[in-house]
Amino acid sequence: MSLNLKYAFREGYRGLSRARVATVITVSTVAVTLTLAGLFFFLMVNIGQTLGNLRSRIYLEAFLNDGLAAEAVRSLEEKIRRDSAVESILYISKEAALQRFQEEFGEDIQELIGENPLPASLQIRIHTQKGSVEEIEKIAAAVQIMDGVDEVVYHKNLIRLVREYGLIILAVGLGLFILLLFSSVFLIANTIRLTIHAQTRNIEVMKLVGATKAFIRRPYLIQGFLEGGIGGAIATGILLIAHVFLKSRFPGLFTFSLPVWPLPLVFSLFLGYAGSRWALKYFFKS
Amino acid sequence: MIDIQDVWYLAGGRPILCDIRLKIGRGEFVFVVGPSGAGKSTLLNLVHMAILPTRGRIRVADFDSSGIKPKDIPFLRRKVGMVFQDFKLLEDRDVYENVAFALWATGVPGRKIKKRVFQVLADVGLSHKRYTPIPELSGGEKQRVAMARALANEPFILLADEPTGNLDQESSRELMTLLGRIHRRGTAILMATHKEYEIDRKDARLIRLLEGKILP
Ligand SMILES: Nc1ncnc2c1ncn2[C@@H]1O[C@H](COP(=O)(O)OP(=O)(O)O)[C@@H](O)[C@H]1O
Ligand SMILES: [Mg+2]
Repeated sequence: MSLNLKYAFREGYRGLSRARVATVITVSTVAVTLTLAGLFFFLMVNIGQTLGNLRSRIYLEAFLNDGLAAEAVRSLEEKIRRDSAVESILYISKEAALQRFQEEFGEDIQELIGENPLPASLQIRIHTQKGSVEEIEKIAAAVQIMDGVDEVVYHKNLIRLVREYGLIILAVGLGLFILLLFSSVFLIANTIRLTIHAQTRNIEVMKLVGATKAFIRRPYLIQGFLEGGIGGAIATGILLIAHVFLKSRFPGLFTFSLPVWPLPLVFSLFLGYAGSRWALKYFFKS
Repeated sequence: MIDIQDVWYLAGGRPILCDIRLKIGRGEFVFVVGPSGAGKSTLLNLVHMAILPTRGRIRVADFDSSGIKPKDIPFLRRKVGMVFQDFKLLEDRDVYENVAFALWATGVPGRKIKKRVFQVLADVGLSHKRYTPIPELSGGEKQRVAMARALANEPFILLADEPTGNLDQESSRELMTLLGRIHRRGTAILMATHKEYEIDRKDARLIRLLEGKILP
């Protein structure tokens, strides 16, 4: 058995070196695919983190009429809270608003104009998973017409960006990634097909002398693993370098701990296996 | 040991072999002669089960054409050696590697391979050319390499389909002598040829095939 494996490895390697150009193209494609996948994954995680930060800033702000009684504010809060999409409501009094303003701008406008011009408000937070833009608009419209509410404002564009473009970016990236995966598997299968075609005489002889099907197929499976694995190793190397570089340039980036690093390699072996199975199925179907 | 019972083989609706009955015993030497297109190759292909009979059945040692599974065929091939008119050697490897290939391919342990290869190469008289690349050999030498490869796994029968078809007279005679030697060691031989004049063996059985039928 151990010798047979040695033999299978040697034949698998022979396959690689015979179809040299095709092998270089295939290995490069696998490497590029997995590098892009890795970078994309990295990007997505970071975008995800950023979006998460943005999300926590999504809220509606309902400015209240001046001089609204505490009682009226409380009943208003209760009314708004009835919508299940509402997560929390924060009451900001005129005084609190003024204090915030002063913290932000460093000026005392009360002194400047003689009175506090800022209205009291309710900050209404929406559950992040719930609520399309339309739903948020609906809540805004409903709150707008409630007694005691002067005006409702919210970051419409920010909400749109987070809710919609986030998904689009994810979908496009995922589509591209799947496309590249398929081309990798296809190219691996194609290289092995080339090798098999160049070795029809060998296969004929093997059948003649009584080699089992598993024995005949093994070198090609190994060839697939090698092609995938070398591509995966290259991708891992590039990703590690990219990681070090990005971390030094952008220290704020979210980075990965050790356990994810073998993933491209594992994935590449899987690609290699899928590619060789495909080629062998095509060749040995009769 | 080989028992062909009422075998028909049809291809494209046309009978290629008709009602063949033939028994070959242990260590026999059998010639199948007949003109080109008589069905000799088809008969040999049935014996190593590259094709299966349309009707009837063939038994080769423990293998039976009526119940054989594709995964059993490799094990039949190890018991039945084969040589062909066109040698079917691996042109990019040398003599040693061609013979060793058959042993590798059938899972023989590495430490046994070298000894066995040298033994069969000695049997066919090619020890001195063991590291010669195949393209540098003469036709007769190539056929002897093929023979060594066929014998490497110690088959009980050697099937030879026009083994002298690509050889000159001198090499053909040498090859027939070699076949005789292999036969004397106890290996049965089934050889197909259209050159009846090459047959000079008194101890061999001769079967005439014409248009798919065995002549009485
Ligand atoms: N697969 C096939 N399909 C159709 N005809 C075939 C097939 N195999 C062999 N034949 C025909 O069967 C006849 C016998 O062929 P073969 O066994 O090769 O004869 P031989 O070896 O005696 O020259 C030939 O006429 C050949 O054309
Ligand atoms: Mg023939």
